[in-house]
Amino acid sequence: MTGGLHVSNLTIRRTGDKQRAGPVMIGPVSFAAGGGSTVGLVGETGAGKTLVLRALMGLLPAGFEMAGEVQIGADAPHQDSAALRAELGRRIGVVLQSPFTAFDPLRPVGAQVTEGVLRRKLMSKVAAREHAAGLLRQMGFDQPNELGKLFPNQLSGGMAQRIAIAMSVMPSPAVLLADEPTSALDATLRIRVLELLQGFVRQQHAVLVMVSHDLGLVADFSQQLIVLYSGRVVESGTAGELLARPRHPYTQALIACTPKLGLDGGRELPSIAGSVPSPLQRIAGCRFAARCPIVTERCRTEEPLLRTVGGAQVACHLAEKALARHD
Amino acid sequence: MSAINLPDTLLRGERSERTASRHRRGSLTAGLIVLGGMLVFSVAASLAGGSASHQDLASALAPPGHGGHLFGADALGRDVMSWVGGGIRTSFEVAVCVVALSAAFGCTVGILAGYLGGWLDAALMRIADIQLSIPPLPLFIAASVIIVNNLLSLVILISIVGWVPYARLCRARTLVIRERGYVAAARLAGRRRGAIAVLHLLPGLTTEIAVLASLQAGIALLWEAGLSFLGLGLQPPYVSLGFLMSEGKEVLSQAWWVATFPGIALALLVVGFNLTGDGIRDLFNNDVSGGLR
Amino acid sequence: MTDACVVAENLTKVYRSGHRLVRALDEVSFEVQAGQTLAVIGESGSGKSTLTRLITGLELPTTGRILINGAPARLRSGRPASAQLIFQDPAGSLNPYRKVWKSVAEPLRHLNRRARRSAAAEMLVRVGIDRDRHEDRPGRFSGGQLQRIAIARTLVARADVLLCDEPTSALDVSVQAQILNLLRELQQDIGFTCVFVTHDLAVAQVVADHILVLRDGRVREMAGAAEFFSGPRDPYSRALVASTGNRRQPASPHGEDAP
Repeated sequence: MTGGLHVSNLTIRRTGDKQRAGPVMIGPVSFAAGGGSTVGLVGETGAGKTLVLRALMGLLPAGFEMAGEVQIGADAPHQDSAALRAELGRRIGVVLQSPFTAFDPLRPVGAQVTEGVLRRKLMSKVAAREHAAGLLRQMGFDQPNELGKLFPNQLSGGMAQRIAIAMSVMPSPAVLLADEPTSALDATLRIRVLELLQGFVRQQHAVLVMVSHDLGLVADFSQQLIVLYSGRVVESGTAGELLARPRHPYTQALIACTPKLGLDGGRELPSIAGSVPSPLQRIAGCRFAARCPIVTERCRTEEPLLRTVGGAQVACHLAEKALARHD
Repeated sequence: MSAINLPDTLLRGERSERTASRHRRGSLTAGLIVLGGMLVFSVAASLAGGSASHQDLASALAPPGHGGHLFGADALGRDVMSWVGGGIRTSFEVAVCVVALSAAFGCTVGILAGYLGGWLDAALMRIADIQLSIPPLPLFIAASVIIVNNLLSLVILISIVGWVPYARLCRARTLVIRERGYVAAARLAGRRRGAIAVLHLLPGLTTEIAVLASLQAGIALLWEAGLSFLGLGLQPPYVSLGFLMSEGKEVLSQAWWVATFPGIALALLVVGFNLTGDGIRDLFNNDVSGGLR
Repeated sequence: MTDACVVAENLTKVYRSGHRLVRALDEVSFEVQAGQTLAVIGESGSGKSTLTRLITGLELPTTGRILINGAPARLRSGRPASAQLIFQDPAGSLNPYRKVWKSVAEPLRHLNRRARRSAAAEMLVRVGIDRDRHEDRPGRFSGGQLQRIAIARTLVARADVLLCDEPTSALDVSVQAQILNLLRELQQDIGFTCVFVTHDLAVAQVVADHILVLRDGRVREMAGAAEFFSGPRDPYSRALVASTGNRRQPASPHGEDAP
């Protein structure tokens, strides 16, 4: 297997003093993705999805540490942040939410696109320029050389994000990590940009891990979905299956309260009472118990672990019941 | 900062965030300790010794330690320690008054210009430009012809020279803050512009004004000392560090203590104000973000 | 003459940006009946935010006029505006240095302190903020809670018209549902007229009685909601609807595109 990403039991915790580390704040997260596929990491604010992405980049903020294994392709698995950090710009590429944070406002974009690979001596100057031109053409620009002379402030949001993506994929990374890559863009551009990302991923046999709070959008473009709630994985499986037959009450509620075109307007949107507890908060039992419509006593005392329920993984004692309610 | 360099930028952000929080409290504490120490010294000196202006020709140019003069005495037998203590107090008075006056005037101009905009903004900023183009020293020299040895006049003069930075700062920040949602909401609630300026614009400015004020205080001190040194500022009966330094200059080879102790005091005051200003800025500046949230 | 609450007549707003003239709005006209909700749909640059500023009176149109209950929309010092605004960024709409009850009580300048405090408290509780949080500052609240506080402030002003400028775009989906439900419930109780600006057609469908599509400052289409969503006439509107519709609807089997 040339491509692929295999993450085993990735956990993030606060660095405690000396030996005693804090309790597991986020995780464990495990998944295996074949080359050419997309993994969607879904969750609301405070679920911890950005921290998971930062852990995969090897860039956890001060005060947090990771444990677990991350294996890229057939390489030896990495177990700490420093090893992953070393892969940034080579085997791991990053696309961020705001297209303009990727660029130095004082220099033309053309030079910046090739800068990374040149600094890491991954290809010659000539090769880099050709490769960049090719990528920019794929992103929909017919005049890559003219485009390269522009400064970031002369670009629109959509243009900037497409160029940022080209820049991230220059070293042909095996793994592309995207943090809400389209939420700063207009609706009409979003689909285009995601299609471009997917195109690259398939072509290069790379794996795209995409974080989003927009369940519907991510589901359209991912093969696998992982749903995070308050730091825990509550459900994980193939995108189609998860959306068609969600097994966890949170996933069900999330899908239900997303407005969709086509239903009668003016109806009251179902909503989830309360709010998401912070991953730092210690809670006995299931973290969703306080807001769950089918909660039982067992839920409040015993934290459910991920288990397989007919083709997907769910962390819920009552997954079968939730599934039956849904169907 | 290409996406490939992005890791480097993020890494630098992480590292500097860690060192910044260590520095944050350090500067402020150090600054306040220095200033506090100077004030205490000043009070102690005036309690211990006699009047700063008391002349005792018998102990003229006495070296430090002789005849009850811990810091020595000057050519007229004045106790250097008492003079330094009194000088520190004068410096504080000047600094505080100058800062209060120039900040009040400069901030008002800046907020008006930034909030109301239009021709008022243009007019006020041109006045500021004119102010900046006048070199201070010739102004002081010219003014000294009319105004002689008067603390209030000196304070006013130095304030005239120093209000523009406040105006510029307040105008720039006001331009940003007035676009915020809560300012528009206040207008929609029926608040008058004046009330909006005080309730909604000013609180967002106070930290930066405080930082600027600390730094300007040091500058005001140096102006006062420099002018007094040149004979254009404060002379006896006022007790000024600058005045003693100019006396000390004459006898530098025989009696180093007359110029040195006031000089050290002056330096410490300026350093104290600067550290305090840095400390306040670091304490409230949380902008060392690394990109990802 | 209908008893339309909000009437826009040939609204045009021109800005100078550098040495260029920008037409943010071009001859925009519409009416909204009392107690109803008009959803204004547009992407960035369509002029939708400018429209909200004109309706509230924060800015004056270059030509044309806005009438609220027959009177031109203008801000008068000392009295709250008859059209109030909910902003997209909940944190930016509240003064971070003031306690939230004070911000909510801002439109009530003419009452004494005790009356203001109790009116603010009542409204905060109504929108779901507990009494023990009223003395807190905005920094201690989540985005959804801040938006509720902002809504409380507009209600306290007893506005005839509530303008919402993308009020839920920055919020999570579950929080968005709570806020939309809250707005609907309050509208049913109080009966204010609502102009709801959004780029999200699905959200528009939930709230709107009528739809107005803006592009580059011009009205592309205006129709009743049911009529619009069953088949928009304007090609731009149709493109918007097409790009919003999920390619893979939840709770329906999908076709997989294999890697």
